[in-house]
Amino acid sequence: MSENNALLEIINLKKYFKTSGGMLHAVDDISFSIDKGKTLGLVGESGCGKSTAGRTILRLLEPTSGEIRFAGEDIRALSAGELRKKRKDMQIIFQDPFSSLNPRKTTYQTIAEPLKRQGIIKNKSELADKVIELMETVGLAERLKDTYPHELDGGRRQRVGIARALAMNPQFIVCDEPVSALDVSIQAQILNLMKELQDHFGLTYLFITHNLSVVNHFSDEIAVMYLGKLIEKAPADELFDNPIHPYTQALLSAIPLPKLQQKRERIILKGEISSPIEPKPICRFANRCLYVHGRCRSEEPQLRIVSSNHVVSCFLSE
Amino acid sequence: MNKNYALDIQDLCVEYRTPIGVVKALNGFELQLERGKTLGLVGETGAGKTTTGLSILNLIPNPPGVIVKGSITVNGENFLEKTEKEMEKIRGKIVSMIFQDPMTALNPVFVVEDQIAESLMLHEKLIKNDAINKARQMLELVGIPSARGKEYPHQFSGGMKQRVVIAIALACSPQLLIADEPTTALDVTIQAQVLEMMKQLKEQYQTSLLMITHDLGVIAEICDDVSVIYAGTVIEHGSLKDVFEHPCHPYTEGLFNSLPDLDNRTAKLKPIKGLMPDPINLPEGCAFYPRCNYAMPICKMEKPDKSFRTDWHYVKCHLYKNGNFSERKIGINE
Amino acid sequence: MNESINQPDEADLKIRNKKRGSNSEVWSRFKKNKLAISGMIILAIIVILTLSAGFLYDYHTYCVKQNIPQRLQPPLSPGHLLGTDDMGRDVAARVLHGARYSLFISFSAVIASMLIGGFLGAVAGYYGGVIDNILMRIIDIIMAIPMTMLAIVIVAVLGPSIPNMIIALVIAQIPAFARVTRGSVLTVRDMEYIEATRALGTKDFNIIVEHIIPNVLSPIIVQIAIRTAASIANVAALSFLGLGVKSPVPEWGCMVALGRAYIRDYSYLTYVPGMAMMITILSLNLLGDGLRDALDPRLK
Repeated sequence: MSENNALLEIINLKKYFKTSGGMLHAVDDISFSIDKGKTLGLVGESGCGKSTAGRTILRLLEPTSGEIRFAGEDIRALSAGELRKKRKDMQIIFQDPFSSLNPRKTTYQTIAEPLKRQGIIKNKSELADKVIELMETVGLAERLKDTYPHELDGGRRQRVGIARALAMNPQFIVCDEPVSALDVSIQAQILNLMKELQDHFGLTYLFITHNLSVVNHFSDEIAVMYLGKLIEKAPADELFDNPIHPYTQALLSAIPLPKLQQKRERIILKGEISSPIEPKPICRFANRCLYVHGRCRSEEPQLRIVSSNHVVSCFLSE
Repeated sequence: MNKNYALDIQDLCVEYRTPIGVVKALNGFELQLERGKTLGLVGETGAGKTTTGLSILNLIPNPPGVIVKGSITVNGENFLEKTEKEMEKIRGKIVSMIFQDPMTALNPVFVVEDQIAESLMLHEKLIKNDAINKARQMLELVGIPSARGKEYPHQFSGGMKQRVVIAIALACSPQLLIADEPTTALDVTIQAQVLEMMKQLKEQYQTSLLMITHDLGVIAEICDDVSVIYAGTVIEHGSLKDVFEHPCHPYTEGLFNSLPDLDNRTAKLKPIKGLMPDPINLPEGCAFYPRCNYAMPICKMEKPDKSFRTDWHYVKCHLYKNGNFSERKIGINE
Repeated sequence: MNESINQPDEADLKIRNKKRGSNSEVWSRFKKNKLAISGMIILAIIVILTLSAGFLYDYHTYCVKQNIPQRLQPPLSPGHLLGTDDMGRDVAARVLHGARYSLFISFSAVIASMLIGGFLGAVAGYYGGVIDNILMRIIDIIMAIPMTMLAIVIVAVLGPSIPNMIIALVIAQIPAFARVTRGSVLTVRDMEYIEATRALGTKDFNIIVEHIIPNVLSPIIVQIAIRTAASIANVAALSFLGLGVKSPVPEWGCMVALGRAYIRDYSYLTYVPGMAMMITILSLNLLGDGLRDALDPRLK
């Protein structure tokens, strides 16, 4: 991870929510960086905090503490007005292609909004040209410009969302489960599109998902989250070939493979995920881990380097 | 019939008559599930999978849904000829169904053991105490401590709720279990737990299982046979090995090619171009024609019949009309 | 990269079949509701008659000028379709002109309530927290005061007149609009497309105006129809009690009040304006219900 190539650096990021039962540690001290033009896959199951992390990085939710550095600049220090201007560099694609589009706006209006908002384009004909150009870039035919979201299928709606995110020429895009709500054959279309856009525009992605086969296909590096903590991070190949954390191992073995030959040993986890409210300072995976021993229940493991670019937080790896 | 079928659906046509047109959800749909086995019904949104599940139990909402023709035979009896009262005795007892969304399948104001007991009291005519005891046994069977029987659904996680749903479905030892995307809403590790449990229970109870899903990985985990559904018809059917190792229909090939390959991770995905046809305006010939890479002129005009590769593996595609399965034109991830 | 996106495919058939905005779908749903359509037609007739009242019957000649020799003629007398009142004034003329008062007063009160209540509800719903609490408690206080009492107080302080009556009506209706708007805003506020537009750098004001308000209009429109109906009854009640419109203004409530003294032998003086009120209120309610059903997003 060369420092000078990093577009995004997250340092000790925390996001806590106040609830009636106590503090909910949604994102609990995570750190990583993403180099320009690369993709970091952020995986985990429901409740691990990955979506919250994505939104906190963009300050759609205000971080509780920690640093967010974008192209060297401290994002947390920006005022509201400066942050609004910065938004054009950092965008987001949402999971649900229906609720992420305003049902009362046409495709044209939805894509035109960011262009108008940032004052990039002033006159009407230039605006129309740019919108059509964006539509073509994401594979939407021009004749669809006056359609409403409910007239389009999931795949096309997602393309509208992507066009909207691209409109301001961002450098970095947070993709929050962008294909989970789509059919398998449409997923493939959208993933190919996103990869082409990355190559063409040099985009940097934070790809948030729970689908491991998709994240493997799409990412350079993968970080695994569990109950708000980052428990393992490695280049994609390395993570799949050599998962070290017991949770990562279980996660990988749980993927139902559409192939008959490989019948691997399934690791079935026992128990349920523990509560993110006021967690104790022990290993959060202890109650489900097959290799749990004394130290796990009394101390919290820290992230340690096990090999180049591969970090894990587990006492077993020490 | 040579084989012993738990479920035999022949030529089923189901339509939804809506103000904007007639939606042809199932067209000449055919399906056979052998006793004691698991059949996977795989297809994408809009193919007709859920309509199939609902039709079997005659739960299609009557306006606007209409079962136009066909037969659904379970245990030698045609369900489509039964009255509503007769069907009520069947649902939950002979045939049970598990729906996709565990969050809304349970009644939030009753504790879980009562919900399991309800089925027992209704069908097996147990008195309340006996029913509650049996309900607690069922909870243990699905991996939930029976002491939690007195808790409400909202106190359980998604995976546990789905287990309760499975406990309710299996309480009266049905012969046929229909599971409509039972693990889609669950996390992948929980999905693994639930599938593992379903496999064990199936063995124990000797239940025949119709597993409706879009996930080929789940099919590979748990099914013995596979039927691929597209635009309301089964376009390919065979054993798990048949369909996974010798897929014949271009749509089946397309489905496999759309999936990221864990072994060859950076290979570009090969999605199927276009979209599923509008069920209000189904084309005359083969429904897959506009999206097919191997389309021929005849495909546009005529619907293909079944061509058999083996005794039990068939495909509805003009490519194989002359039985030429050996020169396989298609391949996976080539 | 674009794989012949310009070739029409199956999805286009879907779009061509439904090539209309969400508004025309609402209209086609509305058309199917026969009661709603009848409500709309009746209301249209009432509005047309109201607007033409001035042409049909000159105000002074028929409504104000007393014509004692012709007093208390029953309906269907020559020259007086609905009879005359105790001052000899033509009842039909007074009913028609009265409609102008009823409709105008009610509708303007409702619009004013909508603007004020809607704004308060939107701000409370969007910002939540302390602002929401304070605003809603103020609304609660207003709701706790019965409308009639509020009117009495205002009239006692400011004097009886139409504008003062409107003030009372406006204040009394604000809670309904505030609550409806707040509820809708709460639902819309958490939708992902609001988050999406914030991610584009949109300011709060633009978010409220361009994204939230268009999506909360439906329940507000329904409320306008329903509250206008309620207001007509309220206006009549206040006038009946002498708190608003005074004779010889031919407002329906006033007419009913005047007819009270003659109710035994000349009951038409009471029930004719009463029927007029009833038909108007009924048609507005049917229209409101029809709009609510047609706009229901669950039916999409």
